[in-house]
Amino acid sequence: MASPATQVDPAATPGAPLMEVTDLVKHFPITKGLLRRTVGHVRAVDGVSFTIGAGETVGLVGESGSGKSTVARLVLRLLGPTAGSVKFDGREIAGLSQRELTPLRRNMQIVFQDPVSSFDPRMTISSVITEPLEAQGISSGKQARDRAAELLDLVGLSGRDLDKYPHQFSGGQAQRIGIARALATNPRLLVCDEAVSALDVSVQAQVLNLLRKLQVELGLSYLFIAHDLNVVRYISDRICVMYLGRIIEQGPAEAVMTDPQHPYTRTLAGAIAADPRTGGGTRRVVVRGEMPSPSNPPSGCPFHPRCPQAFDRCSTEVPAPLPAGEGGRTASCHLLDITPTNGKAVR
Amino acid sequence: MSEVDAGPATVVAPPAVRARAGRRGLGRLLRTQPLGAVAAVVIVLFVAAAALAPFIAPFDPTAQHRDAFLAVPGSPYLMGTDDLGRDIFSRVLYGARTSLLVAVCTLVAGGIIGIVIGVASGYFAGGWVDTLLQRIMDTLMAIPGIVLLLFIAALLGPSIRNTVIALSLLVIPTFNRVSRGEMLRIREELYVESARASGCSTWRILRRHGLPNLLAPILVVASLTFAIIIIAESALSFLGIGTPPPTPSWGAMLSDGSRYMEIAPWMVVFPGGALTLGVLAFNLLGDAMRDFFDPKQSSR
Amino acid sequence: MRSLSRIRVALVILMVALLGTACFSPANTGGGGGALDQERPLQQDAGPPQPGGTFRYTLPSDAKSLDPHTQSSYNTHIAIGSTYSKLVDYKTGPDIPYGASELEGDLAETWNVSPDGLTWTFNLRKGVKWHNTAPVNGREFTSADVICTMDRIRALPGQQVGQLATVAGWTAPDPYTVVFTLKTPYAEFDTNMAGHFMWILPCEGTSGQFDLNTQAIGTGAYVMETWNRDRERVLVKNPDYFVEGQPYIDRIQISIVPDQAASLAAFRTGQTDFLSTLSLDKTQAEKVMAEDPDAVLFREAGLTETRVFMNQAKAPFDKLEVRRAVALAIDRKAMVAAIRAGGNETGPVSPTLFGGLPAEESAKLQPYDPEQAKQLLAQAGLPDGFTAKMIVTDGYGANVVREAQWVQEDLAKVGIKVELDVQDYATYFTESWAQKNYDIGYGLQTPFLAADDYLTGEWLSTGARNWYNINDPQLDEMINAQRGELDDTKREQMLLDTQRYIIENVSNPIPLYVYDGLSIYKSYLHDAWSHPDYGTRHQARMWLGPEAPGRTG
Repeated sequence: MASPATQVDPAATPGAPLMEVTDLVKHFPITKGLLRRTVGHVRAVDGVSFTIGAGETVGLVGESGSGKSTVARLVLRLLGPTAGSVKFDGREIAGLSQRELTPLRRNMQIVFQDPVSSFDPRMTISSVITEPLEAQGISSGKQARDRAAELLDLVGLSGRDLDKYPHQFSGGQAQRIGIARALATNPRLLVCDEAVSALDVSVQAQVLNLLRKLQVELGLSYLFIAHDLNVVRYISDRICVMYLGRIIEQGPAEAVMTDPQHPYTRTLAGAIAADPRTGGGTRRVVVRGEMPSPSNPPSGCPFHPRCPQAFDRCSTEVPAPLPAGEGGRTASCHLLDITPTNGKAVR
Repeated sequence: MSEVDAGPATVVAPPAVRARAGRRGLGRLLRTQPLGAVAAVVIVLFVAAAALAPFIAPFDPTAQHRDAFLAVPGSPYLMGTDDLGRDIFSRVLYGARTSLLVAVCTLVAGGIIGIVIGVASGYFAGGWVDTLLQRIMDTLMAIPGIVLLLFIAALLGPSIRNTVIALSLLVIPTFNRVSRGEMLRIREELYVESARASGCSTWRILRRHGLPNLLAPILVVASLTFAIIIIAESALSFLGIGTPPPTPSWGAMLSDGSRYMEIAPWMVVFPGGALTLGVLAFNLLGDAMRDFFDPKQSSR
Repeated sequence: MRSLSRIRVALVILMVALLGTACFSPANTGGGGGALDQERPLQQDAGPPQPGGTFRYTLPSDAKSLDPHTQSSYNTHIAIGSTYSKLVDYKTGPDIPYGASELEGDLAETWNVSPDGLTWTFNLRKGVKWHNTAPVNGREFTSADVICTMDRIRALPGQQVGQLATVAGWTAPDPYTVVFTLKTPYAEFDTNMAGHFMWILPCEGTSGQFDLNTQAIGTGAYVMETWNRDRERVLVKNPDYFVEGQPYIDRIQISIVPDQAASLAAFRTGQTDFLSTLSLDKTQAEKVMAEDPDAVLFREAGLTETRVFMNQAKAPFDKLEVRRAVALAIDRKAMVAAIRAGGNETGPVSPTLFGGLPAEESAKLQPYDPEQAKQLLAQAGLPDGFTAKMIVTDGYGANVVREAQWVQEDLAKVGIKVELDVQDYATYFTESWAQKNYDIGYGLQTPFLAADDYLTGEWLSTGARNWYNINDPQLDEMINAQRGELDDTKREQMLLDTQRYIIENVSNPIPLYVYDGLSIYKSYLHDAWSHPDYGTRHQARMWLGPEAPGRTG
């Protein structure tokens, strides 16, 4: 396995990080009836904090329903947060209007899971790639088209593809086009929302390598969202593990993967460990049940109903992120906070 | 880099999926929908008759030939004359003009208003804009079409302008419903979200992504609505509250002729036949277009 | 597939329709016109009247109320026309032209006027009985009933108040005499009393002891036995009718059938004996006469005038030359023959009325002369004509709208381009015409039964129906003069002169023609001499021949 890109320790970097998310919350109201009474909330993101430094890849991993796609959209302000702060380059963008955000959008772009669906089927590839250029007023006409050809080249496709339509490309090629479009405005942050999840394994590798190459060439930061730990581990500098709207563990990728501190991370990593391709001999931990609905989360620690090591405090008190190792690792688990007086450990 | 595999630059698309836009699309329409093709021809004739009426019509449609009341079809009155001695063939041609004029004006007025309301409602679905506009549309739709038509037409008095107004009101909810439905679908599309992420303004999104994708269903609806408008105009004229005399209108001709059906059936047969043909053609064209745009059908 | 079957259906319909046209031969058209010219006269010498039988016919609509004082509608007056009587009424008979204004006594035996024209005395018949229906119960008719009736008319805000406007008061010196005192001499007062609103009601009716809207208890030839509104009316013979021997027919049955085609079908199949003018227009009449050997056509010279009227306050209709040009541009003779079932050209007062200008003279004074019309326009400074908006209503039926189009075409030929503004009846009558909100209009004029009604109403500068902005002092003088002239011969001359003056010096409203109404009888119906006046008194004289179906059923 190739080693990850140069690690940057966010805590040691002077000046503001590229992206700083603090206590981000997003609740979607559930309405009922003609008058749209709010009868409850879907607590998709329930207090998330992390940072992304320049040139860094932060992996955001979790099951479906954990809230990671919502985080992606909050970060890009495609959604407005219910509470919390999102700072890009030190500047608060959580409360900005859409109009104010428009010029800022050129700095952060997104690559979607289903690239073909993210292209208007009636537009040629040229139009698809030049759209952000025109929308941002950067360039248009021939100039934009030339830039599009340049971008296609950068991702390994050809200028001859400019006049084709989206449905004429395979999945891998389409994703390259998606990346090309995302790069059009020279962004500094790229959010990859399950960018390789729908691709064949061999094509996945190609695209991941392209992403890494571009990161080095262009100095990009990535927020890489996925549910497949292998992929996340391959590309990330740091990993944040999400469960039911909260980050329950985060830290340098390799450390989190080889020595998980949170029981949930252990089950994920245990699943990897059992995979013969990755080797390792950790004991497999079986987890009970399914992730509950975010509209009705459990009290206390969100994982406690399924946690094999849960004890009484877990159901009453939400664990805060506690230091869990070097490199600024944290994990939100009461097990890290056991003293002889506050509970017994279950191992 | 050796790890990056560019893959072949082009891929041949599977035969079932081809570009629908452009001239290739029209050819395919004609091949797979022969009825639609025939209907299209009839419509072209209809439009030609209407447009060229001043050149083709042998007589002034309001001129009364007082030596030839209720003349049998023959020469020189190809379709005979009516009770005031007016040439029916000329009146049928000019009647096409009236029908076409009313239908086009109604489609443009009602269509634009309906589409704007529908697109705005659909894009801002759930908000106050949507709620307010749709409540208004619901109220309009709750009134039975015929009642609405008669009320407005009788209130405003017979004239082409008032007929267009009345018919536009009738037609707006249809376009609203279709546009709103499409917009609800479109705004959930990933490419719309992607456009927003790129920094496209709402206006730009609606213009570049909304409207072009709206085109197909709107065309189908427009064609079917055309038929309805032609009939409605005839109905209003038949009742005397549509096109005022002596402007020829197929509906008014049917009304005049109904009193002479036993003596001079040509007064009714020719305008009635033209009406039937025109409406049938637009219906068939609408059906053909709907089948054409239906993805399940087109992957044959 | 569904499209295919739709096409099939449509093609079949088209085919059938076209075949229908093809099968049609010239013999079936045009032949109709001849049928109307051969009028078969009503049998005059079928012998003495034979009593008995039922007379059946249909009408397209029913009366809303039977009260003849509050309702001016035609439907009301023909509903009660055989049930009530008047003091005097129009004489009809085989030797009397239709629509003549000769009077005979109805409830009055004789009447006279004082030399100064201010006192009119009516001597009532003795022994006339009201119908034997509670609360009147067949008592004798007296002058008290006349007083009750006149008092009521004056108290009600109805049409008739205007007709009693000249009357200062009325008295009943004895049970069989009524005296009217006028404010100014009015030569046509008796004609006034024959007018279609002057039905005499019993005092029980005027005092509210029965509801005049739903019941009619009168002195007429027929008692109203049943009235199912909008369905039928049944009248039965009044056994105590004051005319000896009358009525002859035992029962009259009227069915309300709005659909014209159904009425015609009923007549064709022998279910009815008569088709009224309301159920017939020219084309239907032609068809019926061509098919039915038993049908007798009765052409009723109409009194309804068709008019082109102009607003003299709006240019260019303020110029006499322009108005005259309009009059000369219209080919009214061809018009009435083409659109109506025939008729006569008319002057301001219709030709059948006393003092009405004869049709021939009207034709001479107002000829069809488009060349002259153009010259007049040029003289008025409009050599290229002008444009205007013409109001017309569809409330009188489709024929009037067609007539308007004919006029439009005629005017176009002399350069006057007129655009039709088809309005609903209420707007046309109340807002446009009466409020003088128009340039030029085409329409019908309610038939009046006296020359003076036309002149004083429409041409007097202060006339209640002068909706034309006519203000001609010399004309005013002429109209007022004839009103008080009691000598008939002198008066007639004055009326004719006034009309000549109007045609040549006012030319507005322009009378075109009075059109005939057509009614059709079966040949076994005898002595049906109707009058255009709203009423059905003539039914007392009718009788059915032995072959009438109404005798057997």
